[in-house]
Amino acid sequence: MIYVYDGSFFGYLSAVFDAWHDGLQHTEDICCDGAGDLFGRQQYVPADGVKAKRILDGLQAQCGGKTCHFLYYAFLAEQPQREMKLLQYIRQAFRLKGEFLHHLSEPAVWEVRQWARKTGNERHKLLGLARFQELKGGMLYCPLAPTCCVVPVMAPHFVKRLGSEEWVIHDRRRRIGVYYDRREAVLVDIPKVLQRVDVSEQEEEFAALWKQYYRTIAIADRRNDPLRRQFMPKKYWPYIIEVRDGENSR
Amino acid sequence: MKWDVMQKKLTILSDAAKYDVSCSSSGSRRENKAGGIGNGAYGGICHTWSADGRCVSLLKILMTNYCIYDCAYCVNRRSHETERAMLSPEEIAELTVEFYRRNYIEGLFLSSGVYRSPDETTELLIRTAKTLREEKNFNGYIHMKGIPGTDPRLIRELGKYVDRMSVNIELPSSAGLKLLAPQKTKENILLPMREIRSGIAERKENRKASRKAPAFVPAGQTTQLIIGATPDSDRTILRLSEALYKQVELKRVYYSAYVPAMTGPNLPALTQPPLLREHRLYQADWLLRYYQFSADEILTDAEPDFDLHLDPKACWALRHPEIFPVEINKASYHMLLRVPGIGVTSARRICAARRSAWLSYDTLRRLGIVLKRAKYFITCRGRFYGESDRPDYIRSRLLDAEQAGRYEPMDLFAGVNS
Ligand code: SF4
Repeated sequence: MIYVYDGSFFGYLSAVFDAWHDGLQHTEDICCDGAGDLFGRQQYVPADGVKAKRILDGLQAQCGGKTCHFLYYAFLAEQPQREMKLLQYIRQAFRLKGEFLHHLSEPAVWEVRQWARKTGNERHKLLGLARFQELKGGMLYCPLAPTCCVVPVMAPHFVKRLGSEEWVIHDRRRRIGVYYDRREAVLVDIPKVLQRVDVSEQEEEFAALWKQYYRTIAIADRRNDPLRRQFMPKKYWPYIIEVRDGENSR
Repeated sequence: MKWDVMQKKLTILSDAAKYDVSCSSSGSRRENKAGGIGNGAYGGICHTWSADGRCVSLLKILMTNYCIYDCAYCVNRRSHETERAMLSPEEIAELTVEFYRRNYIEGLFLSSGVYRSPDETTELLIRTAKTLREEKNFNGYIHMKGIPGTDPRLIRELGKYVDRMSVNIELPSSAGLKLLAPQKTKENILLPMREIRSGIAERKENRKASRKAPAFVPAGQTTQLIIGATPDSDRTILRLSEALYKQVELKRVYYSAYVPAMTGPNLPALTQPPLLREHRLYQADWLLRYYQFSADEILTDAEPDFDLHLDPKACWALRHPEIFPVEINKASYHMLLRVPGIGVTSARRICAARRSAWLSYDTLRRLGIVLKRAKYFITCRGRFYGESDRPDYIRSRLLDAEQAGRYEPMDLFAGVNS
């Protein structure tokens, strides 16, 4: 049997739940909807909060919260064939219970932790590198194109920090975003038509001050481009206003 | 806001502040309040990296570069002809909040020349901090400079609003101060430092009684030393740092290789900032703070200066062949930390992993532990994987490794921001 889910984390866990229920020996694969031609017997599993919660609660109770954390972050890394690898991880976790995470020499544990680390690192990096622009009307807008799906896990940080502002963080690659209206943050789809923005009057001025600041603090004698690129990979540059236009990359 | 004037002031005042190396935004858990903006991230966050590869996390500027003092090494000294500017508390507060909203920065690091008098300067710093906290409702990170010679009462007042304070010692000895910073004395530097320390200690006491006791410099105090402007040995500097950590409970000592930006009869004729020496000091400082080394273990009477070719931990290990190699499955955490090439993360990982199984050389690799250097100092289940354990052989291999890794930037800047 091939289980098909909607691409979300809860959808995936619902598929795992069903697969488990039907007996794992019959599970050929778990696939994201639209992942290509699928041959063989398929079953679409809609995302179901109750099923997902059963698995997460079970993991939490038997193996501790960290196990769930790694699972979620590893899922967000969107690595090829993540579904079966993560299924293996979940099975191992339920088998080994409390001691599970110490088994670093188990390939499933090790790999999942590597993936989770990838997501965690990118999240941390982008918490600093994300740039908001003020739009007409005062809303703050932050466009990104991250490698891992980190926007949902970045949001809580900004809810605490910018709690009295209205803002949106937009993942342009996945066309999703988190919108915060001063009360709660919700995950939203952002269709292509909404991808143009109008910035406020003072936006350009503050951006110019920031770029000037950035230019001034560089110590010319210690110029070190490889080092800068190592910390601030080029793939993020299009959204980082102080280096975006190339004037500071010279 | 007059944008072009602002642009100009910002340029002058950030240019004059850029050699101050401290940029850390860590150590504060300040929480946002209802209707407020900002909070502290305990681990610190880098927001950008300048073209020289340094992490930028704070808006680091001077309130003013006017200064009544005349420190020989400083571009802001009274006798130096340069363009001067000054920002008002309101301007600084607005700039900080607008930069913060856009997620350019974690907060503000405000320093200043001595404007009219130390007390008057500090009063303006207090007004800035107060405006940010009370009017702008800003709860992000604030680091401010303690000006030598300020009345302790004002230092106390400032400490109520900021997360971190630093009084810069700059020159590691009294003789150096007399020569290069004649208006500063050991006493007028140490007085504000001690005041901050007792403020922090009192807060800790008050917190025990009530969790709501007001904050006072929650991220602690730091200082900066200039390296290479005076003839002080590395040992003198490291022992000073050790004393500052132990006696004044500083959070960090920053080291700044002297950049010969100025000329003067009392200044050394350097052409290059002593960067490698600065790097060795950071490594040794790291050993003091996280690896339970003492200054006298790292540098001895016989060798008061660093070996510029080899890092201080390796030098120590090579001086103590009687201790090595150690068995990776048995050595205490403390001992693992003393193995060259094994850091805090690796040591923790080893301790966690060996609880469930005996570790082989291959498992170590799998754990992501780099063995290039460590292999000469360890055994795994009794086996030694270095080719030879002769100190001179190991030394030459380590030198090769250091050469190859010389410009491994991660290593060079390890610990500069944390
Ligand atoms: S007091 Fe500070 S700003 Fe003034 S000259 Fe000395 S080092 Fe420079």
